[in-house]
Amino acid sequence: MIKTLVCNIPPLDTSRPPVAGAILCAVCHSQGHEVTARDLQWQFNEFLAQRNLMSQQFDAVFYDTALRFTADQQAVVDEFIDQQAGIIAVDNYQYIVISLFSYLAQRFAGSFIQRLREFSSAQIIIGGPGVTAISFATAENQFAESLLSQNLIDCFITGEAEYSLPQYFVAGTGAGINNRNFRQIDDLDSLVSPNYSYYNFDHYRSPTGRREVVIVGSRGCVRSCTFCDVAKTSPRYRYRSGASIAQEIIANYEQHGVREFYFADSLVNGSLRAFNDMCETLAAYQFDEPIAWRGQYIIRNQKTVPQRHFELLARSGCRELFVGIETGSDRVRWDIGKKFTNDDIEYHLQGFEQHGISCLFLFFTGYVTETPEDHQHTLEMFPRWQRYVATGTISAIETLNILSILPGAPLEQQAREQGFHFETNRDGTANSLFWHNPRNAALDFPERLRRHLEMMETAMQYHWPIWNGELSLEIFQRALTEYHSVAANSRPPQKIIALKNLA
Amino acid sequence: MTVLLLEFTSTWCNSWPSLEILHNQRQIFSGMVKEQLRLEVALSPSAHNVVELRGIGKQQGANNVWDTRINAAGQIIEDKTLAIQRVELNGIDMGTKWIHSLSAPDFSYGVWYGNSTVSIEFTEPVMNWIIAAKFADDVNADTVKYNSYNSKFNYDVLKKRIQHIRQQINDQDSSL
Repeated sequence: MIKTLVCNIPPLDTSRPPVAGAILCAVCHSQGHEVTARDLQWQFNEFLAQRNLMSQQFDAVFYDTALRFTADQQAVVDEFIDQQAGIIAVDNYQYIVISLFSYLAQRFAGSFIQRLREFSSAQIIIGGPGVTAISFATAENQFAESLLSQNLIDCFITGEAEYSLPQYFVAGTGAGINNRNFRQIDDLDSLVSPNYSYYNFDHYRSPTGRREVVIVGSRGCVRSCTFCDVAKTSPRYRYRSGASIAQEIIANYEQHGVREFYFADSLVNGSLRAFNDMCETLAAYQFDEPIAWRGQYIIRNQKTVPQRHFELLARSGCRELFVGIETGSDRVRWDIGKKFTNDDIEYHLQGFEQHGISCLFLFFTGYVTETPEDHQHTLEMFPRWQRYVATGTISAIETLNILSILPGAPLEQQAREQGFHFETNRDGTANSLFWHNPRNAALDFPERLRRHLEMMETAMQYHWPIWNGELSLEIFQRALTEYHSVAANSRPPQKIIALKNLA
Repeated sequence: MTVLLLEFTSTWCNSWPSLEILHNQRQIFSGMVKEQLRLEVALSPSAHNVVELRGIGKQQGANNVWDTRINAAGQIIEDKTLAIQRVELNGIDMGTKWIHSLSAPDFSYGVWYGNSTVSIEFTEPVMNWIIAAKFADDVNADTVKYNSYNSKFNYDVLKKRIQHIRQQINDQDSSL
């Protein structure tokens, strides 16, 4: 039997077993392989704990590409990589499948794969969003191609591994195999479910201390918000049937005692039909212990949302929803493509409150069309909806993101058409973060930052909980330093040539 | 103006429990709580508010009367008690967790088993106080940044950093 190892690369959230790993295990198992899983994030945390080192100090560097490990930290990372490569090599795998969750994993993956190649004769396959995702460093990421050209890997997979990985095992070539022309899978219900039996649930704890797994009910997004580039990696929105999603949740509850579920979908209610079917099935199932689920949710026009929707949400186990409110201005939210109003938000808040569902608001300031009046509307939200904070219906706000114009996002096309200018990086590329809209000239980067600070201060004035507030300010502060450095550059601002992403 | 709503339930032994409620030392209720009491009162405006709940008139051996009756097996068969079921300020339910956090002698988990005064102190703006009272007790400044479940009210740190960024913006503006 073919022996295959599935590895996950740091940095990864350790509150739940990796869903990508569980999917890869299921795919390899379905191909008749003898599969082993190795979560290198968990292994690394254990390695550090044995040396009385704090994983958080390493996480800070993993999550911030502007930072570098100290010499001592680098020595620890190198020792760990040597150790793991040695352990893996002993088992004589034929395939080692490595999952990179984001571009942040590239730093660890680069060193790890190099050592692995020295120690092991297995075919090394890499995949996941981190393989092709854009990094701080490059406009168009060539990480995978670079490893392939150096013969450090045998294959990189883009797109959806459920299709490409078996194709590689059989033919060694095809769509999404060592190329970016991946094929999207239409029928998500036909895919194997993530198999968590390769992971030890005792290694993972959600913030509530219970077992939690990730559920993927859809891929892509039903909306096309102007700032978002999800359509670049998932051009078409596809979703599983509600029954299929509910069955996966029930199976994890029955087989592994999992009671907490986190949806990785862009929007958990992208397809209302599938979503309602899922909620109906979960609400009807006789769980001995209640389950709870969380996920990203889109607010819709209140005329299309009956009151029973909220009751059904609650009965299905919905605990917390993450909602992209983005702004307090109806006009700006419409420009973004969100298609709901403050009245719709109020309607949903009432429904959530009545049924004990909490929601976390996602915000950002300084959309390309935002005027001072629009910004004022955002500030007015804090006193208006303070009572929902007091009832616990609004659990927090998160204002982590600075609006950058992402390559592939609808806003990029708009920026081209409307003649946006960008500050120029030292390498001659346009800086996607420091854009100027000629139709809204007053909204330069310092003004956007001023509005962000004012929004945070207003949130604090009305005692709104702020999620990741310190991290948000760190990001803004670093961007400001970068802005001053870039703006001091003598080159004139340019129209888009190539975007360098900083967000 | 703040509207205070209080709901109580009681149990009888020899007599019903008594309750006196004062807001900033001014009496707003005095009487017996017979099985249940729902009291809604608009409080006089004040920046600082103290609501005192004085209960429960239990005779603890005075004149050889105990307002608790026990059977031969040592089980309580009758007892004079008073329980807070609900506290609302301006329509916001303070919740069971908060009620259970109130403390006083002979009083636990929202129930008087003897005579004592429970004090509720709050300040204006009352909505800010409610949020802090219900949710901000989880604050932990040492919480790890990338797992910051408890750092949603880390305002001092945020304010300091905002001040620093403002200074950075102003310095740059003045240098142009």
